[in-house]
Amino acid sequence: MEQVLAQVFEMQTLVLVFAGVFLGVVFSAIPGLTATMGIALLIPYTFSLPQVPAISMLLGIYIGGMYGGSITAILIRTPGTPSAAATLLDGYPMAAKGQAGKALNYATIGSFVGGIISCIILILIAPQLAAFGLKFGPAEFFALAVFGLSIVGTISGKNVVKGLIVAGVGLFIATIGMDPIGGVARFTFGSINLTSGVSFIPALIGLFAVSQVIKEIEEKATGHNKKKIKYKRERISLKETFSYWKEFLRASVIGTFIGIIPGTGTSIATFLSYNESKRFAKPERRKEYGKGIPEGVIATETSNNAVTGGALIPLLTLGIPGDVVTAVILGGLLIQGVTPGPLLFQNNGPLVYSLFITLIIANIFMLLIGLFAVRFVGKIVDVPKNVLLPIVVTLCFIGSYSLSNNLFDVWVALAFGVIGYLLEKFNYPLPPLILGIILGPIIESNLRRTIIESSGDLSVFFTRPISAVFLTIAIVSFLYPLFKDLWRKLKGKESIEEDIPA
Amino acid sequence: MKKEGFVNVIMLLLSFFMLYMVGKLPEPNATQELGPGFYPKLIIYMIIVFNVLQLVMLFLTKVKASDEASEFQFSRFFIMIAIMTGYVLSLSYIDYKIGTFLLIFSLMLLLGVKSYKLLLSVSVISVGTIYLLFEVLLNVHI
Repeated sequence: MEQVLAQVFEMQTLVLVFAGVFLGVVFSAIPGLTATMGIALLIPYTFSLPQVPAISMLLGIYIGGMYGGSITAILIRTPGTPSAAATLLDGYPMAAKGQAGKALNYATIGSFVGGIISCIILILIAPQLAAFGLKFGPAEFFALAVFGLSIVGTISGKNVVKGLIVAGVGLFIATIGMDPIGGVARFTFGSINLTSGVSFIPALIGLFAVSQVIKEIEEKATGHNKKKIKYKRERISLKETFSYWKEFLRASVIGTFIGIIPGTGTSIATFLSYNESKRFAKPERRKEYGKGIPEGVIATETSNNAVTGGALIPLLTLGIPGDVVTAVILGGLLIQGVTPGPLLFQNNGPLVYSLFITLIIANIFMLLIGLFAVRFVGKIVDVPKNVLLPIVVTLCFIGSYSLSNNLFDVWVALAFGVIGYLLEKFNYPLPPLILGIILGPIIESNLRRTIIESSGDLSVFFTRPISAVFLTIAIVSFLYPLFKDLWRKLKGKESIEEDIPA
Repeated sequence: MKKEGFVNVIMLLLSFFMLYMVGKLPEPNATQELGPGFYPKLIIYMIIVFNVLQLVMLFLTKVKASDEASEFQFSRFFIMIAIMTGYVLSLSYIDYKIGTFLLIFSLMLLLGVKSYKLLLSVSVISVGTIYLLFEVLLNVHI
């Protein structure tokens, strides 16, 4: 143990973890730059470093990268990363109400709590959870993704049918490119750029950031944009923070659970957590979701950082990376001569425990950086919009390009900006579109794999227990808000105020 | 017809076009029970059903002022899109620094900034920062 502590608390390791967290926050806060990119760029610099400091730095970027996207999502409605897409549902409305400081503080604390709880789970029951994650076959993945899609009702606001249309459009957009089973090019219209599908991050940047810029410029012209967002430093008391303990705990468990399932990703965790938070809320509080309440920010930000510990469980115990970021971290581990898998805990115990302690330290650094940075980054909203918006749109375009040095991605960002603007103009909610694009590939590939494996027998979805549970909840979640909405419309009743402005 | 209904009509037309495109995809073979066209077709049917449902609901419900799309500024919208499209096009032909400078400058003008000092300083500083961040630090060659 002394050896472990000596390695972790060495000045070099601490400085590198801090630098990693800081870079992760900065990278994910800039639209188009991701934690994955940050880790990939810094791996060459870690070649010459000893094992523990090198891996600690990469983990620091991972932790910081999960949190940083929330800053721009809250302040300027530009999610720096996909994991922050759900944060703007309540984060931006909070900023619009003059509570940007509060929203950022809740995002920081939520990210810290989620990260720490998932670390504790990782330390205590990693091997058992990893075994559970492996029980997921194509049928279970399909059911989980359909369950994820069932939250459309929650994030569609007043009009569930419009939300379902938009989700359908998202699912369809996800089919563009190579067919996941047979490799047939679909709806590419001869474009080589479309064979790998529509790039997700430029689409996300376009839908939320570019469309917002178009909207703000137009509103400035019509004079509708009278309301100016003002940043006010707001501290949250410990009592106030603890009053949301259920939110923190629930989101942490959801995030960790989603994290341990390889191939799911943080976006699903954040949307599911948001949905569950709303579902468990008292009826009068439920109406406030989407209008800017702390619960919405806590649910999403806690869950996305909880994914970090969860995703490291299959990576460290089985050597299976759950997503792109952990795949890049796996590369970094292998370069350092560390082979993750069941034998890692037996043969390289001190290293594993030093990584666990590093994770906790990285989360503490993230909390400190977050709480400190709020004082300065919050001032972004005070910059006049006629100066800020052109800079944001430029960063969106350059950031989209830098993802894969492909000009086509910039066109994607622009096209989705226009689509997002027009959809919002006609009161269509945007989050279901993103959800459709995220979940589409998972749903299709796993549906078709299940059908092939079961020789066309559809009952397999209900004979496998995990799949049956997810699908049953999903069907109820789909039908209940739809029928409620239709009934309300046909009866001519006033719609209840559950508007999602994003 | 309410303005919103046009959105559904356009979506329906696009859906029928995409259904036609699905018809051109290869038929499923022995190892792929569903084939490449099955899932997109399912999604298109779903989009059609919900669009028809939305149209029906639009006809059955009373018009509320708040339901209608807000005022649309065609000229400003098209100027914005033209500037942005021009910028993305320019990336293939001229140095991105010049294009970026012009984009920021013109959007600020459109947003009513009149001070040439501010216009020039913000545009130059932004281009410089983007160059340092992307080209120097991240080695992204635009």
